[in-house]
Amino acid sequence: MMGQKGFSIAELLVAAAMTSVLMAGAFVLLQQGQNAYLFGAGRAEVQQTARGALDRISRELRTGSVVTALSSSSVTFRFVDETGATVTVQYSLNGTNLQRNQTVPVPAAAQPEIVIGGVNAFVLTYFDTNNVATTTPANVRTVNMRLTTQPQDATASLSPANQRAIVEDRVRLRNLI
Amino acid sequence: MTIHSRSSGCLGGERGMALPMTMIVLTLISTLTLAFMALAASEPIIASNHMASAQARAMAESGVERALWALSMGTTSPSTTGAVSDPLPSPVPAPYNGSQYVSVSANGGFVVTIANGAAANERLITAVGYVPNNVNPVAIKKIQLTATRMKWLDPPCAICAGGEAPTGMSTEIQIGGAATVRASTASGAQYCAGVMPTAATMSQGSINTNGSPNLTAPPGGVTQLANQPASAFSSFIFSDADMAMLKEMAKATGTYLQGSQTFTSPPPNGLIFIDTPSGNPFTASSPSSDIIMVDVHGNWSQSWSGWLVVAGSVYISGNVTMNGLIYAQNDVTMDGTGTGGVTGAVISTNRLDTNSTNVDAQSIGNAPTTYNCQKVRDGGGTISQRWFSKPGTFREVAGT
Repeated sequence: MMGQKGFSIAELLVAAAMTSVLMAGAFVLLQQGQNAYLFGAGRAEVQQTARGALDRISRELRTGSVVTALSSSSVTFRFVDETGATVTVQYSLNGTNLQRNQTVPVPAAAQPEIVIGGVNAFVLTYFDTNNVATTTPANVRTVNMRLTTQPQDATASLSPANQRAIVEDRVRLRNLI
Repeated sequence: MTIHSRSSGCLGGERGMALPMTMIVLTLISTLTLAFMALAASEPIIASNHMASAQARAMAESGVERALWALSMGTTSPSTTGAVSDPLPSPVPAPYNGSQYVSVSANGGFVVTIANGAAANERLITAVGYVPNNVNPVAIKKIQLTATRMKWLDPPCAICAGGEAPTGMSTEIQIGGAATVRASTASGAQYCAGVMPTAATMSQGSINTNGSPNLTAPPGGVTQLANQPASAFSSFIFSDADMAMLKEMAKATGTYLQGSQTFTSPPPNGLIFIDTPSGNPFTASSPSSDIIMVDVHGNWSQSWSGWLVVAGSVYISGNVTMNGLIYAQNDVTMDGTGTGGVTGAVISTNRLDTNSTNVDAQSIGNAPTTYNCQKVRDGGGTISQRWFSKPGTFREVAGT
């Protein structure tokens, strides 16, 4: 009877070893799945934010009538909105936030507004009517935008969620000669 | 028996451990898999919608370009198949009346309409882009703009003065010496189809002559048409909006100048816009620093063709040959000599009215001016007659 109630050392070791192997396999399987999920989710996040922001800027720049001020990370311009009204707006990078500041007409919402967070870089280059790079606002006919995004929430550098997306677009201002 | 009993006991304990563990692992993996699948399914849809949106916008812009082409052909080559004539016919021919879907490719197409705009040289274009077609579209974009071409002034006179003189100020054309102003075809003038000038010279105020000027009248017209109301000039005057657009065009071509200028040789052909030093519109109350004079003189071996548009006064002397339009918002003085002259028209609107317009008033030259409607329109072939998007009118709008 006493022999039937316990396990020998050997039995315990074998059981522990088998359990460890099974647990390790399950852990690896789970971790791979989680990594794949984090990678996909991170990738989707940075791509979506970059795409959305660039789409908004390019849509407004496309109907632009003049660039009034510029730098490599900010641009101020006037554009024609869908009602035909002229709107003055500035896009700039503040830390990791891409900001939109509308000055004319003054909107009801507080300005500037954050378009997206998690911006790693926002680089603007400008071209004149001959497609030559320029830094004179009045000569700008085309704007090239390069936006690099990262996850908005802080993530470890080695985390699969720590993705980068680079999107680039070049827009000619349609309301200029 | 002993072995059997012991085995039964151990097996019972192991069965209880394996099942929950398997279930937990399976649940976790299934959750992750489902989340990943949801992401994987939604991302391509979002990307696809984004692409369709961009394609629809491109289709709409294709419609705009097609309309601009048709309008341009209607102006420069009306016999071209698909051209839309100028002025706009009624009814507007398909597909420019919006009745037909124009397929660009398997990716989509557009529907476009052209309608008359606020001015004779303006058309309202509305283009709607569809992806992949207009029957079951997944993306639609609509663009509206006003198309324009360079304004045809078609002045009724070879030399025209007035139209913008300040209240209480008089406009005067002084013609003297051996000045020559030709407005009859027999003397070399040329008319546009359907446009007949009414006078060789036309003034909001008086027209005075001294000496023996040689003036020829158009058929049914007169050599001097004086004391005309300002409204008689309104159809062939550049508004401030017109001037602003011309300024931008000159800037784009590098022929925008500011302040008083002197040309002793032909400037570049095409549009030359000479603005006030401040860049502000020239008015009767402009400061003295904004009152400018453009001096054109010399003995040119080559001619110049284009539009010389000045926010101030123009003085032309010497043996110079100019084809096209001389347009000054203040005065024009001409003392040309030799074989040169102006072929086209000279318009001074006298916004400040300092001297009015003088044509060889001092009898020192013949200052020949020959009316030529087509050269006024196209600057002797140097001013584009194509239609383009009027700045500030291009916009994306909602709807279909």
